Amino acid sequence: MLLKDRVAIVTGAGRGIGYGIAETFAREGAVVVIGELVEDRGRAAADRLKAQGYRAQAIGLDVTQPESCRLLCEQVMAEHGRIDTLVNNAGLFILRKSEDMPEADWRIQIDVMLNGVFFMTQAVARAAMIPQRRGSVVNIASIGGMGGWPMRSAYNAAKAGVIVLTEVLATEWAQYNIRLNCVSPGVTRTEMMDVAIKQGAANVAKYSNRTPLGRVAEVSEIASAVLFLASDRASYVTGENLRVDGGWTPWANLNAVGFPE
Amino acid sequence: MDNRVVVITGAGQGLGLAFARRFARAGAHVVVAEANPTTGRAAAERLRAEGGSAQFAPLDVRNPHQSAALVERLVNEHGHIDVWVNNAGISRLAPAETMPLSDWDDSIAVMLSGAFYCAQAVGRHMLARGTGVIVNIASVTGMVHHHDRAAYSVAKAGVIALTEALGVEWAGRGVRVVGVAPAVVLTEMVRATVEAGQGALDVFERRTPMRRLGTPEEIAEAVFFLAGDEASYITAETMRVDGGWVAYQLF
Repeated sequence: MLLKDRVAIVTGAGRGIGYGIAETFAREGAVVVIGELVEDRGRAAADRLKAQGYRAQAIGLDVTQPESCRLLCEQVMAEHGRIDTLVNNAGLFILRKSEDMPEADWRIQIDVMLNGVFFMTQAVARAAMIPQRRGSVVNIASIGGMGGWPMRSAYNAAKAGVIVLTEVLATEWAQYNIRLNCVSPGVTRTEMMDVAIKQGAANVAKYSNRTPLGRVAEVSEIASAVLFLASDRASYVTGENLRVDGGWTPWANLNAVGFPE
Repeated sequence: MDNRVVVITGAGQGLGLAFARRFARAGAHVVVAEANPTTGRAAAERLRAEGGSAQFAPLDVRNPHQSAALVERLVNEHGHIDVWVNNAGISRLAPAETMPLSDWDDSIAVMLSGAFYCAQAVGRHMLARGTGVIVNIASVTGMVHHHDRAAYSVAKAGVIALTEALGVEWAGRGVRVVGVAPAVVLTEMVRATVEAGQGALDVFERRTPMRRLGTPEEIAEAVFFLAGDEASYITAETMRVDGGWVAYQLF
């Protein structure tokens, strides 16, 4: 077990990739803390893990509020006395033409996925990892953080910011034995995506055709990369952005169907 | 990795030998493909003495006929090759303006062309079989550069591009191509460089955010991860295992 008795916080772990990471960590022996904005969803996820015999709990968390991040850390420290791993996974996605992007849509995406990552990481570092002189953080970035995708300006800018933030903090906190890395998933099959497919809002074939590997990722394939980086197996890996994208980013797709979609 | 056949070039020493150990420990059959028969044989014997399954196979990666013949021989012998690690490397340090052209040619021949010849030879087998993983050992020196290493840098940058090009080209046919980019690791090669007065370890340590060199085992763990089924959606990607070396861009 790679994370035996480690205390791990996963933000936005009520569903999707975050839940997959939480489940993988729990299976590897971690005590998993699900930080969720939607508290019912967080509790349901923790219950699902506990029903499998794992150790898990849900705590309400709004990563855009530094005070909320601080309180979560305080509670975890009070109950467990340490935090070994943080996965900043919470995110949201709003598709908008940039010329029509309402200020609120821009701000909420930057707030959750860039500001929120900083606030949460700072809180965990202050409360636990710096005093412990030990810790591992994995930020969920995106292949969108490495290039231009029409109508995704806020999402992609936030994710690009996370990739560089990870590099900065990795170089700054290496002295405290804290490692920080990113995983950049390609398009991944989640419950949210299944719903979008049913509603006709997502087309898996289109994503699959754009991927050299010819298919979208399964949640477990993202979670296994996060686990590797979070664990001591990656003891010399820091400041890295690991693409788990089936070859998406380095491919100059000549079958491009035109843009914007 | 049980019963998987894993070929590692340049596995007679240094990083290659550490990779061989990691795969052997996980139950793979390791082929030590090495230009130097003395170190190659010794490495295979050592792996067997440690309880692993290993064989030595002579290979000069500069010669594409040798890599093709080795693939054919191993496929005849074992039926399949599951993982191929392009690790063979040389270090030729000289100021670019006075670098002997043979140093340039040798560096490109071993680390870039050699990696391609091997990938092509084993790639044909893996594509026909519809499965396989090629791991190319790149270097942070293929990403950020310093003096006296023009040939090494360019060869390794080429390896990173090769990983992307082959990764993209073969992804749809079951073959993953991935890379690992280590920073300075304390191997025999690095020790010789230091002893020759061409680099001091404390300089490298100071330049590294984690303030220490990586160990061969830490690089091996990344190679092993990428070669395995846990990395099934990772292709055309080179992972840095560098203690923060590339991320650090200040003073």
